[in-house]
Amino acid sequence: MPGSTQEEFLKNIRYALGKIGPIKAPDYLPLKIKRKDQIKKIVTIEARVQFRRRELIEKLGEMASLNGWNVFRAASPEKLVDYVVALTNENKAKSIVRSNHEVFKRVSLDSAIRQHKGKLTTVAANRLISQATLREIMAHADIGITGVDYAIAETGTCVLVPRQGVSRMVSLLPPIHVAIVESNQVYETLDDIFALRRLAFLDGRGNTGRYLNFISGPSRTGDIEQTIITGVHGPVEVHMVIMDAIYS
Amino acid sequence: MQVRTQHFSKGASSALADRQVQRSLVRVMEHFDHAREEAIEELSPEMWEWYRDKGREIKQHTMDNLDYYLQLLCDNIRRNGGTVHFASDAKEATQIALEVAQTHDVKLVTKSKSMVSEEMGLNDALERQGIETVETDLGEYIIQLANEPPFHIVAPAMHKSKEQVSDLFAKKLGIENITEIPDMALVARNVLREKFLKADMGITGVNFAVAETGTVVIVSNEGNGRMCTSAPRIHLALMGIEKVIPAIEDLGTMLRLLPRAATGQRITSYVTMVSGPRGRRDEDGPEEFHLVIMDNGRTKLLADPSLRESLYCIRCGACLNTCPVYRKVGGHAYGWVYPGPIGSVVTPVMVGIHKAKDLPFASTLCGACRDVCPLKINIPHMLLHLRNKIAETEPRAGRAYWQEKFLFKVWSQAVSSRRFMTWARPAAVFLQHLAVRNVRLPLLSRWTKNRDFPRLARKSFHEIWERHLKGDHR
Repeated sequence: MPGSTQEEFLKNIRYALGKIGPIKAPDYLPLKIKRKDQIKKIVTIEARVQFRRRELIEKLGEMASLNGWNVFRAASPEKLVDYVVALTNENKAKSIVRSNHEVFKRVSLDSAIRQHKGKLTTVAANRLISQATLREIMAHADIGITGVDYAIAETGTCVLVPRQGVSRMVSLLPPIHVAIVESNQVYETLDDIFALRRLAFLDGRGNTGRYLNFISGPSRTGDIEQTIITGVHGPVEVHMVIMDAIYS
Repeated sequence: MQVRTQHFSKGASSALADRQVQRSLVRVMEHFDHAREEAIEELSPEMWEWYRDKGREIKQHTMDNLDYYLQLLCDNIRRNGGTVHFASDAKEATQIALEVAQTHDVKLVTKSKSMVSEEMGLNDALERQGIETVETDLGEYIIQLANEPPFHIVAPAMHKSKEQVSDLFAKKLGIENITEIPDMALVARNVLREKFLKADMGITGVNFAVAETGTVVIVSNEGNGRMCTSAPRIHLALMGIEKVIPAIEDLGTMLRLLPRAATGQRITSYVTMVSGPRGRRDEDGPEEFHLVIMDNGRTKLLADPSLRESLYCIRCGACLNTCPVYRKVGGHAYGWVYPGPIGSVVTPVMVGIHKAKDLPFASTLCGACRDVCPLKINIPHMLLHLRNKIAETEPRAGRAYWQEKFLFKVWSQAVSSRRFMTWARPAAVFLQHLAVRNVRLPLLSRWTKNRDFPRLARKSFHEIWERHLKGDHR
């Protein structure tokens, strides 16, 4: 393989910095916090978020709307199902894909969609479908439905960690994305999420998800005359359904 | 990318004469400047200052310990199953990219925005090897079709009108002319969607690389960054050495600074974090992840204590948007990848100072760039440092330097003599009255050509003081 070796490369950098001797770890606080103390930090975050949950859900809805999400607060699982079915009918959706998030065990969405003539494919529910076929189905689906792993009130963001059952593309390829947020997934700030991810990293020694997406609105561009257009590569329309009542 | 930095004044003149470019500059720059200010207002200016200081601390610490953090980053990327490559210059980086593409029998590449790839001239290099390469950021796609370099680091096609884009699409894609912008975006969506799903390799830039976790972070609004890192079987990420940050928790600060400074957004539609190839149980994602870390002159910036802070730059483009020079001459005049104030600092060092000696002078030193920079980079200070360097080392400087020194000596002698000023000033007013104003002075033609010669006042302050004011203060 062409290119320089790591030794040569780092030697040049050390030369530029005027350093000699072996590479030493500098003192940097965020890197020095051990797992035990990171857990303490998370406990504080969870307590704060728990205490302010109602307020944070309000804030999440407000910021998400500002960023272009259609926000719906579902008071019960039935209301959620109604919302999705209405969306399916409105858009005459023929093909719907969904991820295999935990939340779908708590809401009976599948039967409702099937009853309304929608063809539903669950990513990873059926290992009989080949990857190529699955991708083809996702590329031509009208609606993609996912749960989320976290939501951030500060920025109106849904965070998705792809894994078994959670494709990277259910929230990307179809023109409409519906994200279902459960109230215990709502956090306050970006910093809360990075603290949580750091703990996951310390726990898993790097094996806790190779990929992660923050989604904060529809796909958009302003590249032609600064005119904002949604849906340039990803979804044109995004819906955030916040499950209000389940845990509160 | 070909270096055209020697032709700054020619490029500037043609941009000034281009009415379409001037119209776009006025509209877009105002828009960006305004959006940034609003976003800061929403966050509160006090918080903004707090994050700026914090971001600067993070970057300063990282650059001062860059050897350690790059090593940590590489260790962690490898632990996650990725491959790391090192390129001392753009040529090596290109060879690496070609080698990776050829080893994996790549026929089609989709690319999301990467300034490092512009340094490499990567698209041409891949195309020469028969590998189809498609830019997928809408702006980049437009300028790729037009065969032009980016005009702005955040909005590469900002200088094109919708009519120009329409003509370009009609010509290059063989379609009817379209008049509405949403339809143009739809055409691009359909063409590029096809490419994404067929591509063998996705190439992306890197906005931040987290050393602690071995993660590269890509921000985008269109979702092309997500496509390039999800659909193809290989992902190749390109970064300069300065993109590394120590901890995942530092991202909180950086992600509050970048979108606000760049486009006035709270956050971009997407922030994508890649820590290696797909996991064993993942549903999709690339089988291989390659990271190229490129120097290409950056260690020269690192080695100079006066210029090191130019590596704190997160490429938001705020200094371009606010710069009175960029706002008139636009991005192409600067002649290389990075235009505007920060470009005038890094370009001369990266391409060689004598190939780009006009750039440090393409500034009024007004300091607006420093005021808006989210990392508080002292750009005017660095421009002065470079001017000084050019003056001292310019091959032909000997003569000009001598003349300048002499002129300034005469000037300083003259203006420090009260008696001389008393008779010389009215004489100068008279001479200026005789000659027409705005003349090109024979010896100083280069200096006077583009500058108005201000009319001297009929009466000097000294005279006014002597005749009218003195008595009042007795």
